[in-house]
Amino acid sequence: MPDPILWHPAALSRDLPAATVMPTACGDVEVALWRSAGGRVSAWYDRCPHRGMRLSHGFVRGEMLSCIYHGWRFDTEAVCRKIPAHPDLTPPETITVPRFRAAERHGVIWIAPRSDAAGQGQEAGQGQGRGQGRGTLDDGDPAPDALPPLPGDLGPLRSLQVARDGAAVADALGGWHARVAGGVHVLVQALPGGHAALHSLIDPEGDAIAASRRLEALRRDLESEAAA
Amino acid sequence: MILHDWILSPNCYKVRLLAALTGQPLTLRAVNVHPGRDHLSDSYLALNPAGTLPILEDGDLVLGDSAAILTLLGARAGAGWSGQTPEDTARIAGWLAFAQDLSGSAGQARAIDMIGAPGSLPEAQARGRAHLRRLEQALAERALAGGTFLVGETPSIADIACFPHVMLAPDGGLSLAPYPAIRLWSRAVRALPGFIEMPGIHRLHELSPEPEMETELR
Repeated sequence: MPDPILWHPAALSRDLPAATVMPTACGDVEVALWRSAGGRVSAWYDRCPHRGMRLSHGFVRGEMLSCIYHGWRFDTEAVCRKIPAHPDLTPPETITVPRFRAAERHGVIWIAPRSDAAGQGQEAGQGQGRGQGRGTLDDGDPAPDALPPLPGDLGPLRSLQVARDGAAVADALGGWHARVAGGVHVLVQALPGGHAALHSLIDPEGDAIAASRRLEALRRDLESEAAA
Repeated sequence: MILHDWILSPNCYKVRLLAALTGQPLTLRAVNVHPGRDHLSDSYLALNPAGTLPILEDGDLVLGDSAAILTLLGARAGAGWSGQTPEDTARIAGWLAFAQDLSGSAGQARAIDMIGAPGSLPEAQARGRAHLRRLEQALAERALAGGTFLVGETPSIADIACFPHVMLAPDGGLSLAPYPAIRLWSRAVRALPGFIEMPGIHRLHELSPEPEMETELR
């Protein structure tokens, strides 16, 4: 059965080392993307349920993401495990962050909305209780045909942001996944505010520096077409 | 060495940061820039006719420009801070000039947004965005070649010159979210032994031991 889930390319794996967090987006929803010290990638709604601070401003210690504001600490299941201002309190398990699916393939991190309880309230940023399916759903298993067909030996090149709507960029390139000159594969991610990201991979024989400069030229073309 | 300093100035922070990273002690003299405008007083204009901070005094030597001060402290620090080869020294000079450009773009946007400095915010932001893209490209290409810092294998005054204005760009409404190579570089700079903070630029909390306050609170 084909995977009905729409997976968005969100970052190159190389750009999210162990124990780091970065901002991205899934459609119009802002997402905190983070990797635990042990290597597990998670994608959450980018707001702390406490005071709404961006979790992408936070920091990773071990297998937990901490909010920068008051240090509320969440495990890889997005459940709050520690509130530093109340050191003796075991936080109730209803304090959670809405989650997205996250998977890594071809050196790219892919994210997708969830349909189960753990993803409820993603738009509103209101995590519901730890519901059925938490940790048991397809966190890391997109169906084989859910992702673009990419050769197995590609290496990371660069991610660039373009000041142009994602659909218009995909249109100009001939698809959300496009091959451009120099053995480069470009994956287009739509971002809020009429922007797009180009996540690019290169085959092992390619000249990465030359390809990086061609991507700069491609971005100039895409943006000047939009201005024209 | 005496540094006439303003805590909120990125150009002053460059000097404090390099001195901290290279173990060169400074005697700090805080100047009331805002709202006092003491840096434009007769005595400060006598020291630095440009009317800017930082100013470094080292015996008879007086330097009123952050790039000049970084050059001095970098040369005294050795170990690649000013470049190991003529080529790297020249590359570093290019980045010092770029850092001045950043001051006039991202730094200008921050000054307009934060303290009502004169100028057009959208124009300063547009220039800042173009500069951040140039830095991102350079750092991405360094990373593709296996490098972490702007010039050579180790941190240099090129990194320290660019770092503050880049990190403070969000104060002027310039997001750093689009720049993965800048994000990794900023982590590498903040992970250097001896790194110090300024308001708006925090350390990597995950590198510090976890605070344990329970016993003190009770």
